[in-house]
This record gives sequence, structure tokens and C-alpha cells, in this order.
Amino acid sequence: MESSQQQDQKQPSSIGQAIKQQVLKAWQPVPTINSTIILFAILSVYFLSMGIVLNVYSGEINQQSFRYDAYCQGYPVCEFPIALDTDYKAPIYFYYQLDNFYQNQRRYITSKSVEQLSGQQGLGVGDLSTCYPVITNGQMGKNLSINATPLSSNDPAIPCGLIAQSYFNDTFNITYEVNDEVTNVTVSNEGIAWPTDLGLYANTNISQQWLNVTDERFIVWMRVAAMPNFRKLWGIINQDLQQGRYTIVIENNYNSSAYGGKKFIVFSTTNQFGGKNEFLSVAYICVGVASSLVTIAFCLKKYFSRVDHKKL
Amino acid sequence: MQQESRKIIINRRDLNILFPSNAIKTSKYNVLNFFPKAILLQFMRIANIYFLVTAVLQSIPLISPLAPFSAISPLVFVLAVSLFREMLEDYRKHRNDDMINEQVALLYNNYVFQKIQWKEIRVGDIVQVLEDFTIPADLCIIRTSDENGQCFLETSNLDGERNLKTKYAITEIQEQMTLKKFSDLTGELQCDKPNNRIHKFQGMLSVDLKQFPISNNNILLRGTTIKNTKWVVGLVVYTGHDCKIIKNQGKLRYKTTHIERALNIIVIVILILQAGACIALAFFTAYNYNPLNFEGKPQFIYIYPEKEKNGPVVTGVISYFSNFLLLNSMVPISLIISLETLKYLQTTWMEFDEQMQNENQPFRVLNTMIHEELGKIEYVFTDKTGTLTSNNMEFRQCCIKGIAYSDQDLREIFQCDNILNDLELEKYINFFLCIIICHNVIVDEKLNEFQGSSPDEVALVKAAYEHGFKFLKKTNNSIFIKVREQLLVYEYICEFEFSSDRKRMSIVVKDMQTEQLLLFCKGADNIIWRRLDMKKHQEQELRMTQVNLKKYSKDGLRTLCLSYKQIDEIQFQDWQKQYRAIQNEVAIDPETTNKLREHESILEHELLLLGITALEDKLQEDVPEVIKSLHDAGIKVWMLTGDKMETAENIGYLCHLIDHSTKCFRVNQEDQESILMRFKKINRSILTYEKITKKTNKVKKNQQFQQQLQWLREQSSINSQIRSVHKMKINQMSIKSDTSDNRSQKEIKRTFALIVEGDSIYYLLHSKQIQEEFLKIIPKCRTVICCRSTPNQKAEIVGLIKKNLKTITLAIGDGGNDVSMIQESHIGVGILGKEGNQAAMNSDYFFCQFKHLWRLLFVHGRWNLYRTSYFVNYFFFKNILFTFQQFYFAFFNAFSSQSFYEDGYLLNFNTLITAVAPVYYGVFDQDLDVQDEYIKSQLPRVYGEFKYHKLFGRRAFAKWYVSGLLCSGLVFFVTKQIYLIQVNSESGRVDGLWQLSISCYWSSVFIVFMVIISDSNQFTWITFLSYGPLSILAFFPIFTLAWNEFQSETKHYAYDWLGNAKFFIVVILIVGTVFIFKRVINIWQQLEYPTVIDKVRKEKEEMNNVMEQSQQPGSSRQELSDLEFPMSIENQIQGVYNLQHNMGQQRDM
Repeated sequence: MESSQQQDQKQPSSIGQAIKQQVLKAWQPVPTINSTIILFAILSVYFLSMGIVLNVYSGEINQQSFRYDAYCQGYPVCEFPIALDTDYKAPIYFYYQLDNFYQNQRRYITSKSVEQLSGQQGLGVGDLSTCYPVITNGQMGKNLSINATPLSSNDPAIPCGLIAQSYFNDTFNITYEVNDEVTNVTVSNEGIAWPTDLGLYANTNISQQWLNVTDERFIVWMRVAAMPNFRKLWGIINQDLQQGRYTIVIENNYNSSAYGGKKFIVFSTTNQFGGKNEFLSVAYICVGVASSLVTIAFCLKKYFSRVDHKKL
Repeated sequence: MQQESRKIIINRRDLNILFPSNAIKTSKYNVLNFFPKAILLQFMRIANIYFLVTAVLQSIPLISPLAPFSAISPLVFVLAVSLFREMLEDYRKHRNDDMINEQVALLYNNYVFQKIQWKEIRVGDIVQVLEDFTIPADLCIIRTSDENGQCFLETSNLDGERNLKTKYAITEIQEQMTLKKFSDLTGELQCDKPNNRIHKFQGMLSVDLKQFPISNNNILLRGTTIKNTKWVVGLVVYTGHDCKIIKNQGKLRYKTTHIERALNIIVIVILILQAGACIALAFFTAYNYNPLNFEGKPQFIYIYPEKEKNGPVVTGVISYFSNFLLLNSMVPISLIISLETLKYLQTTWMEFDEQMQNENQPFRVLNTMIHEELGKIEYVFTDKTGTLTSNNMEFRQCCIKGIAYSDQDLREIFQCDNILNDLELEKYINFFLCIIICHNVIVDEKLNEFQGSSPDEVALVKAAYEHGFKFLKKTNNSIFIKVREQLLVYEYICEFEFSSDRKRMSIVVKDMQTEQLLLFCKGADNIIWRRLDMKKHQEQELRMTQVNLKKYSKDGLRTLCLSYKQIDEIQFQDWQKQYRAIQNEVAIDPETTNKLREHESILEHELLLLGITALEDKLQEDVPEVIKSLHDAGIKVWMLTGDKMETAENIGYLCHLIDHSTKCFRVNQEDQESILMRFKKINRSILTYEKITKKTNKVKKNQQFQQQLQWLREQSSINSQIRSVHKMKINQMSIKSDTSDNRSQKEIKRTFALIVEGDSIYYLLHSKQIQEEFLKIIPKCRTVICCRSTPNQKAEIVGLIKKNLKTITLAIGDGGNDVSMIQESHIGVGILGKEGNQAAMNSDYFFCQFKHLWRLLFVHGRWNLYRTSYFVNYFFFKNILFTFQQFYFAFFNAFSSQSFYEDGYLLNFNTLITAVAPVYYGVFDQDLDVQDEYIKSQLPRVYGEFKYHKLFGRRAFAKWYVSGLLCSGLVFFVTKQIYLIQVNSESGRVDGLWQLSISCYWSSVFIVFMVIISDSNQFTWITFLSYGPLSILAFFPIFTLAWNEFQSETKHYAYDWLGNAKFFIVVILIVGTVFIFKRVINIWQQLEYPTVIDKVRKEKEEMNNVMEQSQQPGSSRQELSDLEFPMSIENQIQGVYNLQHNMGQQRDM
């Protein structure tokens, strides 16, 4: 109110004082049409260019999936013929896909023992309550260890829990015929699990385990999926695959019809942003277009208000 | 103690053992019971019970989808903080209690007075209190150092009054005690049970078979201070918590604010929604429980390998509680804690404000919970004396025998010598004799000052002193004065006290020089006038006196009429006999006091007018400016005063409550019918006035607009020069502000004022019909003055408005008589003034000058309103954004109430990452730079329009709620769609649930930050600090890495996603989308529906541009000076309009 007082508070003696009096030097942006146009122009450029780049990248990815559970229904081993539409360049990632399998169910997710999987010794049934309802070998339904030692049905199952019990155990052998000669495609399971996960798993005692927990396919299975339809990496094919017919010999162990699910196999290549995903690039382009429209609308508004102005 | 009264045996501690000790205890705990009691008290709070229930539910593994610590840790944190606060508070109270209890008192024991502590005093003890010491307990006076048994008391702790009060010992006992020892005193005192009536005491002291009635005049209350008396000896009557001052300490009222009330409703609505969501999800769970798929096979065989023992119903019930825990954060209980923190910080910063302080006189906030209410005030009720005026009386004018003299005139007259002999000057002598004889002022010998209960009297006696009429001393039977170095003694005979009914005070004395009995009487003019002996006055004199009286009144001076009368000795003795008889009667039956008053007034007749004194009651600093601002903000200002109508109206003019454009309606009728008629008539005339103004304004506006267009065309035809470009800009600006705001200078705005007097107020409060009419009128009157209102009426008027108009009221006052009004209103503001601190102690805010109200309302009030509103809205927004993803996720995890977020992330969201930013906003954000002169001038206008713009209500909340829902849907479904195949890196490896969850989590966090950054109105380096390093930047890497190390479940996941380009691409996509939407909506609103703040900002910007341009070379000096607005407060308001006005003048030239 008084001018002298004004002077005092415009030059507060110290920073502390300025904070106390709430008179710190401040930047108060007032948005105008011009700044909005510039801002939206920048956003449009970013989203559009990013969208186009993603779209081009995604277009270069080859991906095909084949449902086999119906075809192999009832056969323990089945030969599943497929045809690849294009040439695939190494590395090719070979996935299996399960539909209608709820790995994200609460009871399912929690049913494992982190201690046991990390190789901790001497865990009794009482220490494994988190594995409920599958704790013992009996509950797991296993009576032989990996090296064929018999397992007591009251001993804790290693690994225990619902996730381990429902471990996906189909195997795939990809073959193709060149000049009537059947050739196997090597599918490596090395490097399919995340390196960070590898450190979490260790075997306790092979003779008491019904499964090798350091198996990368098991580790991949243990990282639970987000949605009821999911893919898991089964192996990496380190050779180019030509367009053409292939036969996949499947050991059909996994009973998906028991819960009404489907099984697929998927061939895919990747880029920097992972697998094929049209949605991301489309979303980017949509947002880019919306942003450009807004920019144009504001430009028009500015132009017309200037014209109005001149008329006056 | 079952009987109605208390019986105290003097000097026998052993017989008074049943009474409490004199120690007081305000502390709640001691070392032993602190923990159990404090924790128990904590769980009396509903929020903590909620926390406890959540924590218990969370500890049951079957129910809890989350780790127990994520519920227990907030509970422990809140409890720890609360307990610590309680501990500090209680420690302070203990210290305080000890300080009071350990003060030294003098106890009579074994024939001497010994030093003891206050807390050791017991009922029935005899204690001595020395001058300037505080009374330790309620005492009955036995003896004082004064031979007449008088003592003086300052009671400012009790009732806020600084003046000295006289108390007396019982004369007989006083005399006895001068001969006897105190230990010989035996007997008993029968008195009322402890109560809180300060001004009432009834008791009977029986000593040596004689009975003496004890009244309030013989009682010293704890907390008061002995003055001007060497010592007092008293009998302890009430001790400790029985003392009247302690019984009188009011309990703190709990005031809620409109935000809190709205919040409660919203919380209930959300609780219902949450319950709905939980029930729906529980139903789906039960329905999904081991169902058969289309092939007749159990769908979840891999989850339920054997038949479950829980049936679908039990599963559903468990699921209800699990979902309740998951959706818990929909009703953010942490909001309560955050809101408390926020308000605590707001308080701290308000108290820091130096502009609210005056030379180290503090501004204090006593109620920290109602800050946002300050931004919505519509009615201000103010006291007059001490609030608007400074209660500093100065003798200005007087009128003797019809001739007016100023203080200066008198000085000159008295410089001529020896006036006592001059007969012509006798009138002056009588005039001043009346002043120095007829009063209740005491001379404080130590300070050499006059002290008294009435500031008017003190000012008069002081003025007389300066003119050579010195009041020296008043004893029980004589008054010593000194007139021009000549000592005069008057025998004091009796005195009729001033009371608000009588409005006059008289004193009968005997002039010891002439043996003449004299009665001096002074009082309100209308009262004295009636009692004058008209025959003995010249008509001219009376007329001139009336003229002067009116003049003084008009100048806002307080007037008193002085008169005297010579009394016939014989007549008086008759009168006195009767008077004594009535006095005795009254002593037995206090109900007959009226008889006494009637008898007194017999003497006060046929008086001779001596003259009129006029005192100036100075206004406080900047009062008119502040009131003008309040009016500009559309706030209705009411002045509630005990003064008479004329004085009140004068002060009203002085402080711009009323001005020449105001139409005043006066209501001073005294019966119900005519008051009702009067109100009806006022209502009609207001309506007519409004119609007329509307019409004229329409015409004027049209003319004005035409003129402006015309002028613009002329200007644009010669717009080749830069000068006219400037003018164009200036003019555009003024047109804009003109059309946008109809408070243009040229427009006539009729304002109305209502002035209501005492009796009318009574009917106003008690007659339904009158109330109805009154309530119709008052929204149209920007000023209402209520004269001659009692403290209780003040409160009732506030209550009437509060209840019937549903508006937010503020009452401001400084004295004990304002306390009830301050407590009744939504916001009570106390002024720390001369009348003690009682008002301040009962207020919500107090400071020392009325002018600070400006900053309290227009700066802090508005700040707090929009800051707190934003804070609450934002809090809901972020929680809905965050929590609803849990709900969506339920549809993809077979309704198993699996948490979408990992425990650490869930806990972290509200407590760490997004905790600091909204609190920073709530304490520091500023939408307008209030240091700027122009903006300062616009603040009242902004304030006025701001409150109608609902910042927090059902609509605003719905807006935020829906945007929260949309954002959470966007985040969840877009991210889910992008992460569908879970292959997100070149390595082809597959991600899991937690990658999706973490991506959504960070998208949510960044949206939350993006929103607050784009809503922040100003950025200082602290803004960057608190939005960056203190929240998101700190916890983004540190929390994530540290948490993941600590938690084995998702260990190392952070490395996976931090090194993943797609993570950032997705987050940018989602945040960018929300940003674009938000920005478009904001800009659109700013351009199409600008709020008053947008307008003011724009005006300011344009003004800056014009200023800059006119400072460029080539522009003339003349123009520059046009742009320099006169910026005194009075003109500030017009700001831009002045500019336009100036331009108009230029055009005329």
C-alpha cells in the first residue's frame, strides 16, 4: 500500500527472506495464441515423424502364428505342417502362445517360493506355505526326480507351487525337406530368459527335484504374463528360413483343452522396439494428426482475428 | 459437597481439606500414562480407525492382495507423527503449568507471611498480595494497605479492560484487623459453589457471631493485578480449577469450511461408488469361481487342482474385502493428513508475512483449518471503536454558553492572566470544574498518568490539565484539585454512576470554600437537554449550542453535555435520608435497584447548561481505502456499534461506508408496525431506484459506445504515425476492459445503505415478518449500520445473516463486547488494540490494524482459496487416475483382485513421488503477481468475481473425476494394447505383468506431474526444486533401483525397462496425448470464456507492451505522462478506466 513498503519488499534482504515473504523472482508464463501455435507445431512434428519411423520399422518385421492344439488333439506326438509366407532373416524368434490362460490370477501368481527357486537348502513343507495349494510331491503329482530317483510324496516338491505345476511342456522340432531330405532346424534355448532373471534361479539338489529350475524355458515361464493371452519365447533360430513349407514335430504334452485354451506357435523377427506392433505407430500418427489439426485451427483463428482487426 | 453453597472455615486447613488445591493442570498426560492414553486418543479419530481396519485386513493373507507393510507403515507413520506432536504439545503445557503453579505467593502462617508456591495455596488460607502482583486464587478481601480498605485492580486478563477498578474490604473487618492479628480471625464464609459468573458473587462472612454480606465488590479474582495499593490481604475462596477465570476459559470451537463440507459429501459419494465397484467385482469373482467353460470343463483347473473348501459365497465375500483394499486409495485417507500439513504450512507462511505486521506487532493465526474461507467472504461485520477508529480521543472543540472554541482558542484565552477574578470568565471555570470533578479517573502516581474506564473522560481530564485545571486526588470524602496554582478541596458526598441506560453521570460535592452544595452532571446531549432548566437559559445560547452540536456531530466528533446545579442544603438532607433508606432496602433485596435510580434522578433536574465538549475519535490507518476495496469486491460491510445513530453515521461518512452517491435509509421507529411499514417502503423505493438506474445506464452505454467507435474511425484514418498506433492500442485496451466489465466510470451505480437503531434491532431479531422484509433488502444494501447494539445483538445479527443468507461472514472487532460476534461468524478477526486482548484471543486471526484486513482477504484469502481447492481436486484426480487401473485390470485377471502394481510402487505413489508437488502448489503458487501496482488495484475486482467462480464444488469435482477416469482408461488400455505381445526389445525376450504395470505406473506419475506443471501459474527456482529433485527426479531412479534391490520379487526389473527405448516411447505417447487435450481445453477456455484472472493478466500484459513502446525514442513525453496513472489506493481501483478517461479528455481537446 505504501510506496516505501513496496520498495522494501521488492528488494528482500536475503533469499530466505524472499521465500518467507513469497516474493521470489518468478516466471509467470501467460499462454498466447503464438506460443500455442509454436508448441503444437513442435508436438505435431515429433508425433508424426515418430509415428512414421515406427510404422516403417514395424513393417519390416515378419511374423506368423499357427494354432496347433486343434490339429494335434489326441496325439501325443504330432507332425504339424506350416508354410512361411516370406523369407525370415536370423535371428528368428520362436514363440508359443497360450490363450485363455490366467497367469495373472492372484492365487496363481503368489503360488511359488522365491527362496526355494533361488536354491536355498533345507526348506521344509512348513517353509513353503506360499506355494499353497501345491507344496508336496504328492500334490504336484510327481514321483520321480530328474535323475530318476524316486520322490517321497510328503517331501516338498522342488520347485513347488501352481506356476511350476502348470509349466508348459510341449516341445517343438522344426524340420523341412530339401530334395526329400529332412533337415532339422536348430532351435536354441540359450539367451531366451532375461539375464537378470537367471541370477534368481538355482538348483537345490538334482536328485530331489522333479524339474531343473535353471532351465531357461522354465525361467521364462516363471515370469508371469500380464494378460490371459500371452506369448513366451521358446527358442531362437539362428539361421535364415526360406519361404516355404515346414513340418513341426510337436510333443503334445500340454493339455490346453482341459481349461478351454488354445495353443499357437509364432515365428517372428524383431527390431529395436521389439516385435510387430502396428498399434503403437498408428497411435503416434493419430496423435500427430490431431496435434497438426489443432495447430492449423489456431493459425486460422489468428489469421481471421487479424482480418477482423483490419476491417475495423 | 452436596449443598448448594460452599462453606469455608477460615484459617483451618484441616477442615477445608475437601476443596481442590490451587494447582492447575492443562496437560493431558504424564510419563506413565502417555503411551496408552495418547494411542487411545489417536484411535478416537475416524481416519485412524480406518487406517487400523485397513492394516488389519491387509495382514490377513487370505484377503490381502498386498503386503501388510504397505498399510501398516502409513499407520505407524501417522501415529508416530501424531504422538510426537502430542508429546511436544504436552511438554509445553507441563512447562506452562509449572510456571504458573510455581509462582510465589505470601501465605500467613505462624504470625508472619511466608513465601510459598501458588499450588500450595488451599481454600481458607489467608494470603497477602503486593502491588503489581497477580492474584493467585479468588480472594475475599480482609484488609488492604489503604486505611479506607480500598484497593485498585487491573482486570485486563479477565475482561480486556485496561482501566482500574476499585474493590473494598468490609469496613468493620478492616478496622478489626488493624488491631488484631490475622491468626485471631475465626469464623466461616458461606458462598456460592464455583461458577463462571465474573460479575456476580454472593456470600456471607460470619466473624465473631457477626454476619457481613460479601458481594462482588469484595472479591479479587485470580489473574487480575493489584495496582496503586501497597498490599492486600485476602481469604482464599476458590482455588485452581474452581477459579472464575479458569471456569470462564471457553472451549475451542470447531469451525468447518465450505471445502470441508463439500469434501465430506464427496467422500461419502466416492465411498458408495467404491463399495459399488467392490460389490460388482466380488459378484464377478463368485460367478467366476471354478466355472465350467463351454466344453463343460473347469476353466481354472491349473489354479484349483482340487475341489476348494470355500464355496462361491465365501470366495465372493473375501473378494469384497480384497477389492476394498485395492481400491482403498479411491478415498484418499492420506488426503486428510496432507490437508493438515498443507494448512499448517499455509499458516506458517501467512504468519511470516511482514506486510501483515506492524513494528513487531504480530499477526497470528489461531485457527489453522479455515484459510480457504477467507476467499469467499460476502459479509463483513465490523465494530467501530478500536477497530475502525483508533480509540484515541483528542479534545478538539468545546462550546461554552453557545460560543464555540477550539482547543487553540482556549489556550489563547487562558494565557491572559488571573482569570479567577474575572467574572466574565466564571463560566469557563465551572465548565472545567465539571470536567475535573465529575469523572472516574484515577491518577497513576508512578506513571504520572490519568487512567480510567472511559477514554472520553481521560481525554477530557487531560485536556483540562493542560489548560491549568489539575485534578490531583480523590479520596473517600474529598476531591483535591488545583486551579491555576490554587489548591481547592471539595467534599465528596455522593455519586450516581454512569450506566448505559442512564447515559449520564452525576456527582454531588460541597465546595469547602463557600460551603455550597453542587451537583455536576455530564452525559449524552439528548438526556441532559431534557433535564435542563429552560427558564434560566437564554434562547440564543441554547440555539447556538444546538447549532454547534449538529456541527460537531457532522464532523464526526463525540459530544458530551456538561451541566451543574446548586443544591439547597436542607432539601438535600431530606433527599439523602430517603436515599439511605432505599440503599438499605436494596442491600437486602437487589431487585429493587430501580428505585434507587429513580430516586437519584430526582436530583438531576433543573440543571444549568455549562457547555459541550467535542472529542475526536481518530480513524485507524487506511480505513476508508480498505472499505472502498471491500465494496469494490462486492462485499457488504456492516458496522455494528453501541454508539448513537448520529455518531455512527458520521463515522460511516468518515470511513467511506457511505458517500454522496449512497442512498441512506434510516430505521429508528420504535414499534413493530411502523418498522414493518418502513421496511416495506424501503424495499419499494430500492426497486424503483434500480429500474431508473438501469434505464439511464443503457442509454449512456450506447452513447459512449457510439462515441468510441466514432473516435476510433477518426484515428484510424490518420494512423500513419506511430503515435496513433499507441493510442489505438490504448483504446482497444480500454474498450476491452470496458465491455468486459460494467463497472465503468461513467456508469451510475446507485448504492444503498441502511441505518438501523437499537429498538428496531430488537424487533428485527424477534419478529418473523420484519425479518423477512429485512432479508429482502439487505442483499441490495452494501452498507448497513446498526447503532446502539448490545454485544449479544451483534452476535444475533451475525447469526441471522449466516443462517438465512447462507453466505460466508467475517466479523472483526477489538473489544470484549465483540467476542460473541467474533465467535458466531464463520471467521472471527481480532484486533489487538487498547481494549486488551480478549477479542484477539477468541478470534481465528488477529493483527493490530484494521488495514491488514485488505491483505488478509484479497491476498491471502484468495490465494488460500484457489490453492486449497486445486490441491483437493488434484488429489482426487491423481488417486482416481492411479486406482482405477486396478479396477480395469480386474477384468483381465479373472476378478482375482490381483494388484496391478507391485507393493512398493503402490505405497510410493501417494507418500513419496507425488507428495511434495501438490503441497508446494498449495503453499506457494501465485496466479497473479500481487506486488504489481496494477494487479494490486484489480485485486478487489478479482476477489469479487472469483468467489462466484466455483473452484471446489460438485461440478468442479465431477470435471476432475471424469478427467481422472479418462486418463486412467487411456493409460491402461493404450499401454495394454502396445504391450500385447510383450516383446519389447530387440532380443525378442518376453516381458511379464510387472513391465506393463511399471509402464502404466510411470505414465500415471508423469501425467500427474504434467498436469501440475501446466496448471502452475508461476515458476521460481523452488518450483523446479520441488517438482524435480524433491519428487520425481529423486524417486524415479533412486526409489526404483533401491526398491528393486530390496524386493526379490521384481528384482532387477528396473534395469530391464530403464534400458528399453519402447518404455520411453510409450510414456511420451500417453503423456503427450493428455498434454495436448489439456492444453487445447485450457487455451480454448482462456480465449472463449476467460476468467477474471485471465482478463487481468492480459490487461497487465498489454499495459506493459504500451509502456515499452512509449519508452522507445520518438514518442513524446506527453504521452508517457498520460500513462502514469495516479496510483494512490483511491485511484488504483480505476486503473485502466482512468487511462480511458484520460484519453477521453485528450479527445475533447
